[in-house]
Amino acid sequence: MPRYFLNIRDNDALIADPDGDDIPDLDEARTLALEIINDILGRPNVYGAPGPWQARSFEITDETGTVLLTIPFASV
Amino acid sequence: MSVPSQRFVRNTLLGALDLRDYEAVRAVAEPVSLARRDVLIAAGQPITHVHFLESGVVSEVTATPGGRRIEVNLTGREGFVGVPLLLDVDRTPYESFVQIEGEALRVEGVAFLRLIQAHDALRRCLSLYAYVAHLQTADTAISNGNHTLEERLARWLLMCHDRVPGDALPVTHAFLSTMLGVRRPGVTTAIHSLEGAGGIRARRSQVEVLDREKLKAAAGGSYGMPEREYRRLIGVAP
Repeated sequence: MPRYFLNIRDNDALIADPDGDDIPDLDEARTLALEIINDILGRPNVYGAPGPWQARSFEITDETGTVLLTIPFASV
Repeated sequence: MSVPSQRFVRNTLLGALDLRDYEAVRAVAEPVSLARRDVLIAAGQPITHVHFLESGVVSEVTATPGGRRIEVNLTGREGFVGVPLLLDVDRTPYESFVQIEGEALRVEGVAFLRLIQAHDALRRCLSLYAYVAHLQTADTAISNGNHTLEERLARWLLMCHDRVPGDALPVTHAFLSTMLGVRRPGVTTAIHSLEGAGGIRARRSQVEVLDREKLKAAAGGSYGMPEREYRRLIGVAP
């Protein structure tokens, strides 16, 4: 199973996902990223105010570091 | 491996006992290695032994209604695993498992009950610890409800740092996300922010503590009360 890394782009900073997840394909990686975004934005008591999160994006990469997909939190 | 003389025991509670009480524990204790993920208390199953940790870290966890696991208590060499047996309780709905490998002195359940019946100062010392462990769980609940993820992470790292030798904590982001009951990107972002403040340096599968005072500041007052109570009641640093 391929490994995808859900890195977070925060303005100029890239917050790397050091571990990655083994996921069947990119579609499933997208589904996981959307689930996480919904969870984070929907539980401000846990993750803090949505504002700073809405300025961030997921940059999903493969094991070579190639960016395959970008999902802005604000797009969800 | 053999059970050390009291001079060399690393468990803080055992080190604080009178020599006679320690020798009574020593006579029935058995040294064991704790490997990562070993289950010391299985949820709902009879508790067979108590473990006085010599090194390593054990987590007590419960499952949330959504099926996610979340930590309710953390024990290192300052404590023992098996508080229910002290309180005459034979099993618990929570699981205790090894999260950082180490060593322990374990005592079989029936032998433990005999020990605490015969040695009141030992029973008292362990009861004080049970009370401090309760405070820690209460503080974890308070911190889950009232502190930011970054503050909770800082508190957890300080508690883990208290319990391992050196400054490098062998924890992955996935592991921290389980302990704190949050999504991994939440942990990764909070680690990034604590790194930016100069409290820690993160590596793969490891977090290095650089500056405890900065971490304490980042914990926003969520860390320290059970540790102070431990010192006050048991008379030694945890």
